[in-house]
Amino acid sequence: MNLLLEVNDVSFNWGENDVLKNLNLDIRENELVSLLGVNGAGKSTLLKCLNRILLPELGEIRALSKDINEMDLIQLSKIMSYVPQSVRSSFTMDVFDVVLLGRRPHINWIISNEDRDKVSNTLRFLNLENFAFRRFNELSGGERQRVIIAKAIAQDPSIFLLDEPTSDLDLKSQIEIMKKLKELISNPESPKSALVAIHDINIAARFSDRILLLHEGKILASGKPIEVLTVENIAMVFGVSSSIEWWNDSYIRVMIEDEIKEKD
Amino acid sequence: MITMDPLSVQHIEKGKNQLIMIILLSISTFLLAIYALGQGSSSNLDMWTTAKILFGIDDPSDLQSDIIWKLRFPRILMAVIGGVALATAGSLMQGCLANPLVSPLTLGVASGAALGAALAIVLGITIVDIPNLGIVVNAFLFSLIVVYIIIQLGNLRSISAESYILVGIAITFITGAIVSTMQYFATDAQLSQLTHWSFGSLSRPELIDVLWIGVVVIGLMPQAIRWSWDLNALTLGGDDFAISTGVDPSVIRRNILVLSALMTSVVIAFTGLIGFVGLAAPHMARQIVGNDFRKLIPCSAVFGSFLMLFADTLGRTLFAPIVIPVGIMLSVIGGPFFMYLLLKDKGVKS
Amino acid sequence: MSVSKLAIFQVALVLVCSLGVYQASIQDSISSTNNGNIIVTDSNGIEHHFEESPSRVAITNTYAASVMRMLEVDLERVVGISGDFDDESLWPEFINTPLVQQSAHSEIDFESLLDSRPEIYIVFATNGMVDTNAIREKLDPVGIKVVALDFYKYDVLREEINVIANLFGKQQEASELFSEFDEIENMVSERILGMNESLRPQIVMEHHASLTRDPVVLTGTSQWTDMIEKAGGRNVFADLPGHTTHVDMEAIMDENPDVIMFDGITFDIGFNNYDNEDKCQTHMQFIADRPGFDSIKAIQDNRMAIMSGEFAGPMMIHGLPTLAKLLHPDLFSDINADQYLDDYFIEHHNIERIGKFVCTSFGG
Repeated sequence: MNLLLEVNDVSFNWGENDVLKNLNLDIRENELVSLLGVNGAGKSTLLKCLNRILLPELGEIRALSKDINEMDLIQLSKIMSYVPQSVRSSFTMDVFDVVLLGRRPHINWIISNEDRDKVSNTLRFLNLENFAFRRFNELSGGERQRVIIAKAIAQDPSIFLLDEPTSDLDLKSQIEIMKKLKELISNPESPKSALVAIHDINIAARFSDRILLLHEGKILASGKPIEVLTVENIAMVFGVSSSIEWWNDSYIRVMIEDEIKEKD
Repeated sequence: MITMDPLSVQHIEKGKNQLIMIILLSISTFLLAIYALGQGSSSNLDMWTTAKILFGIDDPSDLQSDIIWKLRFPRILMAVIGGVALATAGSLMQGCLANPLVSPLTLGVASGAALGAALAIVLGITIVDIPNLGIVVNAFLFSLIVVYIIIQLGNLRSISAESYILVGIAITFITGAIVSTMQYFATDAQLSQLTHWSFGSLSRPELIDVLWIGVVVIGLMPQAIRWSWDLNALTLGGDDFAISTGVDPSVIRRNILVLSALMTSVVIAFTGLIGFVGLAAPHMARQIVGNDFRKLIPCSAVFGSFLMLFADTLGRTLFAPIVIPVGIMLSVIGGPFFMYLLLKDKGVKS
Repeated sequence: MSVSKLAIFQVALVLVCSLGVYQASIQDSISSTNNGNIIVTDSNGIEHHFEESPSRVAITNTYAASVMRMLEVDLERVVGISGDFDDESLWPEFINTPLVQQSAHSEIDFESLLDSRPEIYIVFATNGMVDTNAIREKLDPVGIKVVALDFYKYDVLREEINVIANLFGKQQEASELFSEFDEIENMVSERILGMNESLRPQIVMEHHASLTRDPVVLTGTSQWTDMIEKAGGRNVFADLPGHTTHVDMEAIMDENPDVIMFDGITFDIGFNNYDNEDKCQTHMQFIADRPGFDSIKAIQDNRMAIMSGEFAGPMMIHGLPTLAKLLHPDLFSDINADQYLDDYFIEHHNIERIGKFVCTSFGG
């Protein structure tokens, strides 16, 4: 089994604050992995370390078996694409051109028709065809999020890194996007995977092949949702009491009950 | 033939339309240039006479030939090239600093040039001892030195856009203080000379100078356009987003600042300080082609050359033989027009 | 009391107090200027009253000092000077006089000024670099009268000399000086009288801020326009407004002047200056090399001249023959123009004239 991504003993700190401590994880082919943890646990930091936005103090990160520090950024962006939590700017472009940016690592000078078609197909794939020539800044938060995801898809990477891709989406769109992601990474002919940092524990439970629980700078648990999302783990990481049930024999649902107060 | 997705076709169409607009604008600039060639205070070279000479119908006298080719033509060419350079530099700066309020003069290019000129005029310190080029070389070299310092200091602090802007402001204060001190101790005559130098004039470079400037600017343009992609990424989502698209913000920012500084200082070293074009031309271009730098850069360039040419021609014909310096003219006509553009575009209400 | 009523009361109180202060200050200035037997009006139109001649004077430019010398005013009265008086050979009596202002446009050193306690402060009236009003506003409250006199404008030169004469009781000397002026001016005008207007040389005079390819010329209100007129020439740009303006090189070519002159203040010429680096010739060569300028009469006839800064000051009348002779060599062939300049320095400054005062390309 090929590993698309290997993270070995990565440590990162913001000044005196140790965010990631000797963290290890792998991503295999064709899997959608969710990264769960509380605010400030380091989910975004981890994602940013993976695509060289941040440089970890210690450790090694290998993508497609190559050390990411030995690649130039263009090579890296052909392998990995990243969707940040939110994108806003005072400059605006047409949606089509924003998604076309995803083709940048593959384009030198001239934009080919193939590039354009990839963009068009991606827009249709995410039901964004009516937005193709609207100005990016004029879209709602959720629509912008979908466009950035489209751009990441157009980039045609092996690994998708997504930071809270559903945070601005309505309930229906959340499910749609996760289904589309699942579809993207499920083709055995082209091995792709996605690492998704997410807050919504039930979305993670339903769509992930694996879940990583990030707790105090390390991966506390890694495995199938049913294995990882236990009442004990949830209590330890999130500080809430819960109960778990199976839904339609296909995935688990977590019912959050109440906060667990610290006993003196 | 493989049929393309209709959205792709639409994209191509839109691109073509924008290209047509840019071409139309270029043609207008060209026509304006022809018109400007026929304008001047010389009484024996009106529009009609000039046209006949240009089209080979009449033979020019030595004097007429001198006026057309050694006075008017270099000036017009300088307007076009200067406009292209300043507007391109402006759009590049606005992109790489992700700030629509910067101009190519912002990051120390202007203050460095003024410092160089002041050193030459007030203290007589010139780097080369060639008469007539003393001020030019000073202005050019000092503007580059100042930009270099700003880039180094900016890197020390951090490589964000904000960092460069802050350091730039600080350095501008310092060079400004040096220049003010020199002005203070200058004689009235030197003060007068420095003031007039800073007004900006397109008549100062000779044809050979203009051609040299043209070579530099044209040489740098392809590189500027090549960075359009990277600028798109940088302006759309900030540094993180850029990295995810394969763009290294620190490298690109430094490279663009250097390129932009070169383009600008090569012009203002000869002409004196000319502002406004670098700030306004990209904004005007944005109204037509949006923020895609692949089109914004060429469109800004064309707008820039048109603006410069228009302002200069108006400035020297309105009250002939009095010449109103091009920098002043640009502010006078451009300022209100720019204001109109800003108010018309309702902007994004947060 | 409600907040808004309190605010209104405070504003009203401030207004009343400031009105009171304003009234008081007006009273002061009115009372201070209304006594005196000597009444003079300076070139800003301000009237000054003095009980007697001021015995303590601060002067900020050499033109005023020259006039005082020309009227034989005792220069012991001068208690403060500016940085312009740097030539010790020309101004030996000021070697130890304290500096109150570095240059015309720099800050006044108030401590030095107050130390010297002058009664009057003589400054330029219409120099673009000097904010005479600001100086007046600063010095009036401390009782120093700011007398604004230019001494570089032909039309008011005599009036301004009279102001100094009245201030220091030198009316007799002034009258003698004016006779001297009359003599010189008459000598020149007699020879020019009856000259055909078409023989009046057309002149372009360039300002020191001109660059080789970016000319700035002197226009209507410049004193040179008057001087040129008196010397039998005509400034072709005299009807353009203001003191200076940028013009197109084409415009100069169009006017086809007979003579091109340059303001010499940035050249190394004048008293005790000898143009050691030959900047005059270099400059005139650049002008001749301007494209198309070989068609201009002044270049073809080799008639360019650079005149030192003194010609624009109180020396202007003594300098008139020099200018006239430049423009009309034939009409003034028998006149020794240099002698007038020598006389100016020997008689009024008690020193021999040294230095190069005019550069010409008139065949040497």
